[in-house]
Amino acid sequence: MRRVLGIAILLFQLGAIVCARFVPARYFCWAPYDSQNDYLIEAVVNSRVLSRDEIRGRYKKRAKGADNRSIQHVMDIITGYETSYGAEENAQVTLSYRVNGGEEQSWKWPHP
Amino acid sequence: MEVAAPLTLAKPSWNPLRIDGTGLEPNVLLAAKLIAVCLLATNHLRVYPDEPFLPFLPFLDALRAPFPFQLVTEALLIGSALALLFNRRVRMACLLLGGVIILGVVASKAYYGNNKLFCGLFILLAGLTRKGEEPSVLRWQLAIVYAGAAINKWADPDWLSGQFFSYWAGEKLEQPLFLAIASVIGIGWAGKLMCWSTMLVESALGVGFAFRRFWPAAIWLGVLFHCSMTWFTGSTFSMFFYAMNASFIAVAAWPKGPLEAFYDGDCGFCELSRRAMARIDPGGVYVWEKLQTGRAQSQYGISNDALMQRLHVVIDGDEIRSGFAAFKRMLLANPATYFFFAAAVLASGWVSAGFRSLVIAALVAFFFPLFSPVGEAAYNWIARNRHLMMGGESCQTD
Repeated sequence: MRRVLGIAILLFQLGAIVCARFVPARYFCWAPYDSQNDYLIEAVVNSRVLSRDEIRGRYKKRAKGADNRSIQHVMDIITGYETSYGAEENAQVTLSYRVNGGEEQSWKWPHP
Repeated sequence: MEVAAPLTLAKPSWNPLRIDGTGLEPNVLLAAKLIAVCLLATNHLRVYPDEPFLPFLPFLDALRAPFPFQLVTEALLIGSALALLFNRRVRMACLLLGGVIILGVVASKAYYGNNKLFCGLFILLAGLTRKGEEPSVLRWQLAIVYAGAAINKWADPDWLSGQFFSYWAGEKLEQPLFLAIASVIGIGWAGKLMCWSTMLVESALGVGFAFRRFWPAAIWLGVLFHCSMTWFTGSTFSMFFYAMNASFIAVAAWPKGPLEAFYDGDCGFCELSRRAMARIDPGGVYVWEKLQTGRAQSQYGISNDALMQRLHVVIDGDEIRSGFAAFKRMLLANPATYFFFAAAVLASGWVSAGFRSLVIAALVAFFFPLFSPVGEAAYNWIARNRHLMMGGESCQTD
């Protein structure tokens, strides 16, 4: 049983590594510090602009910071929060980001 | 023959420096303990999620308030870490500690981090191993980490082009060595050099840990790789530096029994040295014997002249080391050495990143094969002049 569990854990990771070839997220596939994603989150909830502290409390991520794995992780947190805990709050979120110092890009919730 | 303490006990010792007499291989237990100690010492409890937040497994949301998630998980984390440290039901402690760390990772997308994931997985997998078994699952875990890291980078255009390092080291870190290299070969080529070097090293480590014949080289390459990254960036990458270096212990060749150390019993300096080493050996890793008994000659064929000149150590009855090499081998077989390493790096980090880099460099240099000639020269000088260090003409024991 313990051998089966150990092998299953290793196989899960191999699956995640394969999966990462097809999706932008980098969960469980060993991509630490693979990407320098500098971002800025701006959020308006119920017509009120949130402060940086409020954004940090809401998404448990700094309003201005860097994610070292994939910018998709920040998008997933915003999407996840706004479709669950904050679904009733009519939030409008703008995520501005640069990947490895490249051109600034923008992502919005809800999607336009 | 001097024996500090029996190597195998009927019951495990409460002494955290002892790694024998449990249900795990000694080196596996040591690696897990070191990771646990470093997790606590780097105050990882502070960042552990206080409740599930956008969990990877949606049903974990049921553990949000009013369930006392933080209280329960932190109690389990601290309790299992202490049980591991004090050799109480170590396999269960590993399963529990690893499980709680992984629970934190899957319970919160905001808490997700590769370094924490590795700590949890390694400790959990350690708990699935048993004494007397080769911990192949741990070796495969290392192979997967490095292979996965390499594959992700080989598939990333910014790594192939060097853009990642050009931006990170050149603009964000403004790393002096990188900028110096870039001033000579251009920032683009400097970035490519660093990116490709990293990818090649990680690829080599993935292969190295997958095949037995490459393990020793893979361990050294891994140590140098993680130390280099810490020197280069001034960062331990949270737990990565500690956890990866500790994990190598679990797959290193480890003595199956006590190291037999043959020393000059008529030498006061030698006797003092023996007593000092014995003080840091509660687990009986060393068995001391005076060369005057003649057993080193009769059993292992070591000449009396050689024994008079240098300390000799016999490992598992067939590997013989002398002088500085023997001293290093003795240190590497002693759990106290690794706790000292961890304490030295942790404490130096509290002073400054630069000081920590110096401490790491000194520790690596001491054990790195290229330093051996210096170490041997120092050892030989001490051995030749040991009688002078006792303040008299003769070298007598008390």
